Amino acid sequence: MKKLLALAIALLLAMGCMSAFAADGPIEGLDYPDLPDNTLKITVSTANFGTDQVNTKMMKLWQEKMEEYLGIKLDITWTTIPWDDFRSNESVKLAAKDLADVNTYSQGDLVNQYGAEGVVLNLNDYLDYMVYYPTFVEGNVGGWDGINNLDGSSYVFWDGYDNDVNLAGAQSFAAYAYRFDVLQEYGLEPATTWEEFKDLCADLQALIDSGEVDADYVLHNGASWMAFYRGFVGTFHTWDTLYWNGEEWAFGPIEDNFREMLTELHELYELGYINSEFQTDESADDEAENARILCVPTLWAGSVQTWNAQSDEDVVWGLAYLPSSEHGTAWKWGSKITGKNLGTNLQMGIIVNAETEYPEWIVSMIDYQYSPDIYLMLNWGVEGEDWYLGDDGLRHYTDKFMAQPVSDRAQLLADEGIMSSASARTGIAFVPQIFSTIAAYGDTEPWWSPEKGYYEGHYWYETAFNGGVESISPYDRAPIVNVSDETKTARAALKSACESYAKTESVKFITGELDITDDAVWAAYVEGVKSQYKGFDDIIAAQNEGTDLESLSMYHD
Amino acid sequence: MTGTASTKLIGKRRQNPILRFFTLLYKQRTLVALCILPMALVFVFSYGPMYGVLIAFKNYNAGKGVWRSQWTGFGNFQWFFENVNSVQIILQTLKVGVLSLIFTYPMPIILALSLNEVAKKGFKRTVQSISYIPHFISVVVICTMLNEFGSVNGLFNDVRALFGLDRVNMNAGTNYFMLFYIGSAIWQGAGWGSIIYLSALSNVDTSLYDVANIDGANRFQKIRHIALPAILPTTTIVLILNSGNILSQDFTKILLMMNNTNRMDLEVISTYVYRIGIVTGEFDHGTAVNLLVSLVSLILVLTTNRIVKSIDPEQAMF
Repeated sequence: MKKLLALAIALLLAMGCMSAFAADGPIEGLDYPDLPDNTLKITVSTANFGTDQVNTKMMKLWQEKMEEYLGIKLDITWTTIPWDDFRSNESVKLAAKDLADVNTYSQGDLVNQYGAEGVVLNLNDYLDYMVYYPTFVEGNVGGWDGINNLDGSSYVFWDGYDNDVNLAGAQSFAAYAYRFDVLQEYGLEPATTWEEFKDLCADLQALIDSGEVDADYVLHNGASWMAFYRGFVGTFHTWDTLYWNGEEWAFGPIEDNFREMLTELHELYELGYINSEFQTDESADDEAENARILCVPTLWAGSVQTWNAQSDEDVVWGLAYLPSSEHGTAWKWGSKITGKNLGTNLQMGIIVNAETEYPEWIVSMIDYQYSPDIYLMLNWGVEGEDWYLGDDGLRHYTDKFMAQPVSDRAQLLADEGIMSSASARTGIAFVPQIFSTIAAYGDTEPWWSPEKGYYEGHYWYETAFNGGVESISPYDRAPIVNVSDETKTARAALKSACESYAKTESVKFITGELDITDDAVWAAYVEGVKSQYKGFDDIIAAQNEGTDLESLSMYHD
Repeated sequence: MTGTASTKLIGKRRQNPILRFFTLLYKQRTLVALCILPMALVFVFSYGPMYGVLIAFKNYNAGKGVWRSQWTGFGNFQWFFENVNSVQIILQTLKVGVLSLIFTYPMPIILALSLNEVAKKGFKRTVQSISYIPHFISVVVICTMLNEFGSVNGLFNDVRALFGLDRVNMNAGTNYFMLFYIGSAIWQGAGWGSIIYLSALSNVDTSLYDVANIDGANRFQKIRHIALPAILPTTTIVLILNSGNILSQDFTKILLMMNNTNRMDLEVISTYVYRIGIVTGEFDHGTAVNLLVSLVSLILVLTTNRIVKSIDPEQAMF
């Protein structure tokens, strides 16, 4: 009896000791390390996108909801740095191993070398602690194979996206902006083909020359930092970087199609249609708002709403889908994949310091950001206060925002920490965004299509309807590529180095400083692009060798 | 031990340079104590990180660190010279550096000498204050101003228009870069740079001017024979130091003056190192190119010093 009693006491003591080292976490059956004072004390380094999200209403709700889910207290020291500064310092901070416990990340494959050396946490060692993130991974092409490295590791919680309306919409370089007031007054229409576009430019130039239209130029760039050709590459079925062209990986700026595009742009420049300051004017918005230009082919589509809000009432900017060419329907840039996914361009996300003390808790915490509980809340705000369910069964923002001028709504949402504003990424960036919220608070803008004529629409939807399936570029539905960590790192560096060179030299071709018709000059340019990074051809060859063509069958557009 | 042997031993001890060095240190211990902090700073922040230049000879993997990364010999240097722009980058670097030195170096001297000749103190102080102000304007503001003024409808083109010249996009390409770069450097730095020369001029014995007046020397003769010799040591040291900076231009200003029409043409070694080393993350390659610059800069300083020494040994730094 005494022996049994002693055994029972020993067992009780052992269980007691074990419970002292393991705590209950959000996932049943998993052991989480015990925390001092039941509090997870960590540092987070993240970016702010125009509005500091840390003290917003939604951030407080994020913490409350997170603590409720995890069953612990969170004591987080936040460091938020403006996005541009954050990005420019990121590679240096990684090299110096100067990481917080949790870090926003935006350098794509660069992380792999640090992960391999034990600087960044291998998330696949903690798959059991994830519940919600796998849904986004499995919605992506290639699923886990698409994000894992060859050795089975994965170091980034990639930025997720919930395309809840299942439309392949886009926002930049997917439409040209035209002065609809001028077109309508003179019985003109936006171009549907490249030849029509050139004819339209000639007509508009004639109106300027005759003094009938008071403007300086027909064409201008949407912003000087954007390569002007960016608005045209889709029409000529090429790209501005290393991309999947439907058959193989290629560096766009050295392709024949790219040369053809530059030839056409040079012709437009010679005819005097393009503003001579197309790559240096830092006040392109002013040119549009003051009606000094008539067409902007390279732009973020949302600019049109701002221009219309800022210009005189009789100036009307509107959008029309990119003109097609003999290559077919123009490709748009960045069209969204349907459903929950991580997108095709795995560039941004969250990384965890390998030396963090409680990776189990941290992995579960970040994973919970991919739950509808968190991302619906942060994208929409609080029910009743910020949004309501309409009779149409859809969510709508309340009058708190919608009664305000369109131009003020984004900032009002951002001040609350609501993510649809785009200038506040609440939680630890990046919490998944939702397609339907992006258009929910904005106004529509004028659109034109051959079928509907002039009408009102929103670019996120209209770029999907107008372009159709053919407008989705192969690059936006690229196959997965299995290459070594070294090749991934070199690939990222190659893009950066070679794009810079191509940008400058392309301007010379457009302005005629370099002769685009001279094969020797073009060959020297191609050689120049390749010389910007060691082993250019080898890296592209490795990229093609590692391409898994079967993964293409996973797209469902 | 004989007395002679003992004396020899003491003599040897006295001649031991290490012992003599430490004895001297002990005797001057107050001065040594004063030097400890600055020397520590130099060792920690200047000499300490020098081991990092090793990555110039390695295929640097930041995860593995400096020591565990693989050696590549001169591969990173070779890569730079394989770039079709490498010669142009070097030439542009030299062009910017040499022209900057030629035009910006004499300006503070000329300004100081001119101000020294001004008799009215109020006017002199006003000119000094006005000439110092641009020094405190951020280079970002300067470049924004240049960009605005150089645009087709900007101030500089308004001036061109007054003289009947066509309006041109002065921000595009490289035609106006040197004018803007050096012009703004003179505007920003001449006043501030003149302080050191004015300080040297204030130490000139005024009786020399009295004697010169008695001898009937005119204003330029007094500058030539009194003022210039007085600031010669300062100008020489500034020249030697500036010659070492020929390859290290105002990196921020060049970076800010770049745009998509001239990025490759304006590229100098420092912007190249930034673009490839920091932005692209090729730390090893960036270090290799920078090491090359450091070596050339050292050679330039030594050469300038040697030239100065051959002309006037007393003016040389070492």
